[in-house]
Amino acid sequence: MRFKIIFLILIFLIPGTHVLCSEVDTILSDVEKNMGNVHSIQGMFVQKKQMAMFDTPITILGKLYIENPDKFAWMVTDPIEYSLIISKNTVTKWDKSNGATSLSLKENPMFKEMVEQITFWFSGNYAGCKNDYDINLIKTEPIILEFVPKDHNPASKMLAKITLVFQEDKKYLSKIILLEKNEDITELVFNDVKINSDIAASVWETK
Amino acid sequence: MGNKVDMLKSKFDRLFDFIGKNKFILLLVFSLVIIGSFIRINSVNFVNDISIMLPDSPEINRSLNFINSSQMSDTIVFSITSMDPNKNLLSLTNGFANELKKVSQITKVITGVENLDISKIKTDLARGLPLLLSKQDYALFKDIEEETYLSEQVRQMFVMLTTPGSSLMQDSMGIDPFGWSNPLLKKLTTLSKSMGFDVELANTHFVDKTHQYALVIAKTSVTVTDADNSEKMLSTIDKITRLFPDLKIETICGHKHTVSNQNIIKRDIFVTTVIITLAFIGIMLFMFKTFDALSIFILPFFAIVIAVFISSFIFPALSFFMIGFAAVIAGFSVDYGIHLFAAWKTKGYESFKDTIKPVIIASLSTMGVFVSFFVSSVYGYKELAIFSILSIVVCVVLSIFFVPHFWREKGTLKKFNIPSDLSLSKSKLVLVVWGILFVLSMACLVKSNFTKATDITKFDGSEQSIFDSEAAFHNIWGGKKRPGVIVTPGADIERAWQDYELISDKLAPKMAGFNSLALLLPSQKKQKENLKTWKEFWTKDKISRVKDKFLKATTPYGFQSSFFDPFFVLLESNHLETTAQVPDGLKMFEPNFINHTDTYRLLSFFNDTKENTQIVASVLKDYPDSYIVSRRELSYLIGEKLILDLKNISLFAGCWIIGLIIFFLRKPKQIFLALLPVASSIPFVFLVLTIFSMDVTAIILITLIIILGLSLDYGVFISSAESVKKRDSVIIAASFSMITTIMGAGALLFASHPVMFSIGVTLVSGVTAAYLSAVFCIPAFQKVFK
Repeated sequence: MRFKIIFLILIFLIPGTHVLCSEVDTILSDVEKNMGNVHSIQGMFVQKKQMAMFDTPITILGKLYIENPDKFAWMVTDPIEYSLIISKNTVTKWDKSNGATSLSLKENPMFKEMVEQITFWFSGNYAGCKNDYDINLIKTEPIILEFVPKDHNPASKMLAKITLVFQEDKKYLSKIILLEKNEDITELVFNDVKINSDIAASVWETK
Repeated sequence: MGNKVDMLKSKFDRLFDFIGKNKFILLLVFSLVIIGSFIRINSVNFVNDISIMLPDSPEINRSLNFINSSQMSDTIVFSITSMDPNKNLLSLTNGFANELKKVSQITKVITGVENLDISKIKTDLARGLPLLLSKQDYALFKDIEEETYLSEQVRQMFVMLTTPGSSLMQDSMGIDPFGWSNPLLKKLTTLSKSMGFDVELANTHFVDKTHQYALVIAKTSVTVTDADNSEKMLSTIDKITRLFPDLKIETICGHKHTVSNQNIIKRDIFVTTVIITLAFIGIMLFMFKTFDALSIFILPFFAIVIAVFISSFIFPALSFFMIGFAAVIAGFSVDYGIHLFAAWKTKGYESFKDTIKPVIIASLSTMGVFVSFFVSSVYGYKELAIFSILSIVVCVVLSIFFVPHFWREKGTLKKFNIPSDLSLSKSKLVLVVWGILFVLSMACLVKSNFTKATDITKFDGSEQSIFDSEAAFHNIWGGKKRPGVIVTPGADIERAWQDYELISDKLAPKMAGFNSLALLLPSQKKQKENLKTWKEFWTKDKISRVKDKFLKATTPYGFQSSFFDPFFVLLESNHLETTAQVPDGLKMFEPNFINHTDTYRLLSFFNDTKENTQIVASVLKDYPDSYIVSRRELSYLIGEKLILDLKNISLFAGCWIIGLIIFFLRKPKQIFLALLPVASSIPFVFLVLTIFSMDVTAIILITLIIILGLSLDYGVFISSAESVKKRDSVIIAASFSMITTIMGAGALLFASHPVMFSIGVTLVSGVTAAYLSAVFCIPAFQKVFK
């Protein structure tokens, strides 16, 4: 009798696990498909950081512009004004006191990796990272996915997990939360997001 | 003198009669020797190693040994792309790599850089700053006590830390808030170019810039010259490749060249052997019209078998190039039998005996050419010389003493419609035509480009598909132009590193693209100096002042003061020790720069141009243990040595031939006529090479020396004929001789291997010119200049 119960539990568990796996896959596929249709994004953001190196949490406000496949602008308006524009293999930094400076990503591996981190989470191509992250579905309405770096992934040395919260229509992200190994937390919330509307050319030109 | 000759002749007659009486016993012995030879040959180790065709010199051997023991020779690279866009390239690549790991001959498979942690590398570099930065780098600290500078740096830090993706900067920021390790990190990019391919990293995998191709690098225990094991390994790889129908996999390695060359040479040997056998049978049946001529034509084959048998005791392994030459040897060693057979058939035993002298002169002149190969430092030439001399000796001895006993007395020979005497007007016409061709040929000889003679790639006869896939590979991954390598040897790493560092310091400012681990990592001695300078610079007072000002600048941004404690510990640089070891963060570059067997060899890389090679050579004068290994340098060394070899061989062969001719012929006119085919054939080869747009290679030059010997044979035989009647039978023999030589060499025109083919073209054109000038020009000269 006991054997039969275990057997039945196993019978029920197998499809259950299968359903869970395929649900994550389906959602990843939906997200990838939806975000694949996104050519441009512009919106406001609020970034809150709780970092061990700071006495108090840091909040910054700004605007974000993304034009696929290779343009990204991060413009901070408060508490200090600066911008970071990535275009193909070049990163241009601008701030009031220094003006604009450009860097080649090919010659700056540190910056290159940083840019790859930025662009990856905004890309929507998450299915390809299943080898490097355990992906968990936390909630379906709205979709919340949690990415835990696997041990072999160098990111696992710093990051504990990354949580992505999607908009109701699954078209884009509404929030990114990064939890680091040292318990630093970065929360990035997007507001007034406009998808596939034209981005002024002046955005990509440094001030 | 006359008595002596008579005595010799009678001795010859007695020996000849003795052999005749015991011919069947000797035939049995001969058959046993042949059977024994075949059994021995079956166990002979035949190799296809082009290095035996290269000159033997310490510098060349050093470069070749380095190449053979370096990463270049034991590496197989795979360029992989997915043919199905829906399939994940990197997962499939992992699957392919896992299958490769199961192959016993493959020792290591690399798909990318595992656990690449740039943050850790940066932190490691930052920790070592007091050891790594020299006085010249102290411009970094120029404004360190300026408050405006400090506040700007802190502001930049804040900007960086609030930028997305900044997590990986946090660790290093505490120890290196001013980014002093950034220039060192930038140098890492230069170091990564030492791999020789344009790779990027995606999910720890090597990919091309389009991310459409993945790169897998495998190391093998199979040496690049081991054709048999290379073939087995490539066959296994091919089976694995077929397990992944969704992937297009290009395999690039030296082993493919080895296997391809061996297969082509084997096929060429088979084709040429079949052609020459059929040709000889054809001549025997349709020209000699007698079965006893079979003995002449079969003799070279037996001579070759015996020569291989004897050579197998002299050399540990025999090269396929040498065996490939067998058809040529058969072609010209049959000549001696033909001359003797023609004399025997037309005029009988006495005429046969008269022909022995020119046969000996001709064979000695040909052997003399091969003897001259011993002057060369090329191992392959010596092997070829021994093999050829043995074949000729066996052929000549058997043609004179043994085979004639199986010939019937008289018979008819095919008459060639070649006049043995020309009218004066026709003689003049012949000389005019010869003169025009000679001038044209000389013009081509003078105009010929000898610079490509030293190009060792001309020895490579691999199938075109291999070159095509390599071209496709280089289009994707670059690396077509291999960098030059400077090798700095040393018994231990620290001693070698001191020279390595000095060479690097001198060369880095002089040439773009110079690459050395010493650019980043100083020797222990220099590290000690750097540490001392650091401590002198970072006095307690200075550290205290900087700390106060810096922490004051960080306050408005809310930084925790303790966060920067590691930085101030670094400035104090207590408990920091120098090391001869490559830091963990740089370990991945170690195999590219440090070659360790029983000694250490530290490697630097440079763009392999003429100018750079000169710069490097001038710097290395002060470091005699260090040396350059580069395609350009190797080509130059080989070229220099080959040209010297050729000069020595030509000089020896020339002296031998002229000495022999003077000794036997004595009369200046006869000497001139005997040498006429030689003087005609060599330039004519260049005319043919020009017409067919073929490059002059070292192989062609060495074949020309063989032509010297062959051409002389025609000159000796035809100029020796004292009467028009005698010349008639000599021309018949010379014509048969030319036909057989052309058949032997002509068979090589069907060869696919460039070395074999070029030998064929050179011999056919050279022998044709020699024959025509001997048969038509010698009588014409004799008629016009009586």
